[in-house]
Amino acid sequence: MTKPKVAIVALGVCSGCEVTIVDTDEALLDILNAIDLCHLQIATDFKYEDIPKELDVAIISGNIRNEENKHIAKMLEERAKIIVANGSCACFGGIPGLGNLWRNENLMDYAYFDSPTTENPDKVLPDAEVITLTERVYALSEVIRVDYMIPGCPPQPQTFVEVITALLEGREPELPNFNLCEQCERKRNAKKMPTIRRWTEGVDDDGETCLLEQGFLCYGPATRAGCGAICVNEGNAPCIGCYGPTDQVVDQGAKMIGAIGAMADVAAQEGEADDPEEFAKKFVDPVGWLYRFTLPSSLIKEKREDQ
Amino acid sequence: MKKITINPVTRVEGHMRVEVFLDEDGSVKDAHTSTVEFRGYEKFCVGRRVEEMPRIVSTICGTCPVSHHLASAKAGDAVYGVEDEIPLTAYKLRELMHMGQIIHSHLIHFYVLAAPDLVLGPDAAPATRNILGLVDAVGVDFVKEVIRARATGQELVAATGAKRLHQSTAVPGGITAVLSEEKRRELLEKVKSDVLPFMEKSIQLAQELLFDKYADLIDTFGVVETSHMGLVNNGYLDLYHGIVRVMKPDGEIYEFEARDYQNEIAEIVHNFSSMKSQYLKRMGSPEKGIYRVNALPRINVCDEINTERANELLKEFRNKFGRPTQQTLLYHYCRLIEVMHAAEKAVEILEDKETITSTKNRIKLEKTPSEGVGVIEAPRGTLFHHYKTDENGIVREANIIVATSQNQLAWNEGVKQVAKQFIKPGEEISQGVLNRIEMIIRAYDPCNSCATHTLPGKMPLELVIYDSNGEVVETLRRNI
Amino acid sequence: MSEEFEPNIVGFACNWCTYAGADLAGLSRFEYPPTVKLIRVMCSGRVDPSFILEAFARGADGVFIGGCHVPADCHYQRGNFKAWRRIEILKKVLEQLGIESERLRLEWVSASEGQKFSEVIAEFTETLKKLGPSKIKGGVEID
Ligand code: SF4
Ligand code: SF4
Ligand code: SF4
Ligand code: FES
Repeated sequence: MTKPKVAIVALGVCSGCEVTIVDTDEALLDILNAIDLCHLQIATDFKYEDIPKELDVAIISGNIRNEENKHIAKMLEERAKIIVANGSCACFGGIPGLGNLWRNENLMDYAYFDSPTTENPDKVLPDAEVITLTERVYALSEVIRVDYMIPGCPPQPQTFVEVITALLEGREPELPNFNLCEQCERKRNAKKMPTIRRWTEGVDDDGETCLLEQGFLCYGPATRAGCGAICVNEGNAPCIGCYGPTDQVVDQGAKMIGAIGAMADVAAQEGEADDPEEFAKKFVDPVGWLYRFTLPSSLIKEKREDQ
Repeated sequence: MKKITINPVTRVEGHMRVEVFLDEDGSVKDAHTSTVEFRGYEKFCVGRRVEEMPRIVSTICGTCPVSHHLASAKAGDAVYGVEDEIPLTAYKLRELMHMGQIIHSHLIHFYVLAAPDLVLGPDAAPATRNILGLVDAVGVDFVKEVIRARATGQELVAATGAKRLHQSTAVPGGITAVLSEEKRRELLEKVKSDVLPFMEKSIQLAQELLFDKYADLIDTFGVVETSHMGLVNNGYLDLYHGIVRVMKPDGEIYEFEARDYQNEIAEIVHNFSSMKSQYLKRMGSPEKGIYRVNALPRINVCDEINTERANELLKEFRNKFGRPTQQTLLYHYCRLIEVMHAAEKAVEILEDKETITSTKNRIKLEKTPSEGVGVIEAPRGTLFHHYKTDENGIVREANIIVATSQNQLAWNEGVKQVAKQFIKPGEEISQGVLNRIEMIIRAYDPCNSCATHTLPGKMPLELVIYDSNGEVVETLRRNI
Repeated sequence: MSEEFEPNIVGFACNWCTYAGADLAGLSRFEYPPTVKLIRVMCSGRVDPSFILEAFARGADGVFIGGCHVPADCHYQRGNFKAWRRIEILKKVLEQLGIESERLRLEWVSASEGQKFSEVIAEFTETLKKLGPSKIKGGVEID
């Protein structure tokens, strides 16, 4: 049996998704034995031109931030039978997708002209051939066909291993399609959220009760399980939603707003909640939190400007 | 020099591009590297809650997320005016996380990126000059030890940061992680058994390679006269916290507090690269103010190291090479001294059972947030995060000076030297020049992810040579 | 320009109160602008925030949600309160995304308030005319 030809390619990334592949330890060896690896940017010396014209699987991490990313994505779409988006940047746009809250000029002007340490009296900018930003940040699936997703920033090794192993075995990958709260060890009592508190006040966290019930924003109710609720269980920190939503959800932020609204109302019924306007006022920077990982693939996608 | 036209096909390869410019008679006039990535973190952090910043900026780099995570939390401490009040437990947990990262990041660099060159020789075929070739050369058992030592570093990170990458625990005022007694003992055992003895072997290997095998190369290759920067604490090497010390090429020293970095460091913009460069303002100009960061400079600037074995290694090193040493290839060795230090430090921290397993890990933030600078020695050098917030702690301005780009002016000098030496009018340009350039750039362990605020630590390299009319005369490629 | 602009409003009306109110408005011939396309839902609490965002994404200039009066009229007890909470948060989200929060409007309209319904829509239409077309021109692609 010939081994499937697989390429692992990084587009607009921090490279964490590639580091994670290395972190799959022994499972990695099994995977490597079962495939014919044609391209892996960080560990070997292959070049893009070595990528075969016909590939079985392309595992792509990263979003589309410049013309080069786009070009490579399109090339892979043509060559690969199966495209796997690896990591939240590829799946949803990722944290750099927050760049969509500004225009490219704003991002560049600050970095090259206005930052307090920059000395640039002649207003030098990198040439247009050097920086070729796309109009905004795109998730991979906005630009090319994506057949499977491995969510997470970065995906935990078990998530990566499940998707890849399933594909190698010729079965459908099975990602949990329920919410993260189900993997959380914290106690949920009344499922009520009386108010919104900043995590700067987290010194009051009792370490046992559901964070939302204590008023701290935690993305559990609108995030796909699979990481083992690692941030909450291991780190005593809120989930920030890096695994994105479950299958049927179109917009992770909207889903979370729904959940918060419902929990706040439970508290209100007992006369314990801020009134709706007060409550919303305490939600500081909702977009930066609700769309931390998914802005480019959300319903609105970017900040709208006057034309 | 004429405006160059860049062939879009070659742009598409994600290489770090080296551009060499020839004058009329065909000799080298100038050379530099160029990167193309840009993401704009500093701007899109505006509007975010400052306590969320550690979990946003860690994604600047997947190779050293801990550095950004912690520098950001430290900036947050300063924004809330509590930088000197962090509970000792939090301080130590953060420091432990950082030591874990130093261990795994430096070891990966040494064994995956540097050692294949040094063990197999710079002239071995690129196809074997990689980690697989190294496995053949040093044997599978040794490589297993490498993997175990590095994995221990990652475990220190996971135990304190919850995630191995893009940690979730550091916050202004402390950290949310708690270390159990069981975990403490397990980690302590591992550092003692899997890292410390292994580092002795590594040091020995590096000494054979660098001090003996490549002794000639060290003194002649990519040597540039620059200043050096790194954090020290009472003169001791300190990777987590301290005052910024600069050593000029003549050995003279000055120091400044990180919060004054704006008066000391300026950034310039290049039209040929998305990466800015930094220089020391006190020296007056980018040419005079050229400086370096990362392991070699840190070893140069510190007086001593406050862990025993690393300090011995430092003394030995200093006797042999002097202070400051400008030999670029010695970065590789200095990294190993630092790993030794990090491992010893981790043991020291883990042995203090009382402190490290305490749950007193955060303090209440009561002052009005305003402005703060956080600094840390990332594996690749001094890293500054500076935030200004409104009275609600919403970031209004963010400035980040990453480690890698601070070496850019220096490696460009090195690249120019090699180009001048190997590219001569009328002579054929050989692949050998690429090997040399590659080794220089690699010594700095540049991380494009950080520097352009993108892309992996491993950089394919492309050399483009332009004639005096700006026409491409030759393109050579090599994947680092 | 702005005189000619006819805003495009997507309305979600709860079956029990507002939808009935709108019906009444029609029957009683209360004039209201034909700008609104009304979608009947069982309760304002069933309006998923994503419906609202999707309406904007598809090019709506304004989104209207009508429900039963608080505190006690909702047939599912707290649906109206939940809608209210969600909409307050959504307004903040919209503002941050550069979409004026006035484009999202929640009103309590009972089955007997045909006139209120027509007034509200007329007023909302005016507001939107002043604001001009939504900045999401032609909508965004939705898969
Ligand atoms: S998903 Fe996260 S880890 Fe992966 S490339 Fe994006 S920012 Fe890095
Ligand atoms: S909201 Fe967060 S803390 Fe609460 S149960 Fe869900 S995951 Fe756990
Ligand atoms: S707990 Fe949430 S933020 Fe943390 S890894 Fe899991 S999905 Fe990501
Ligand atoms: S039934 Fe009308 S708002 Fe709930």
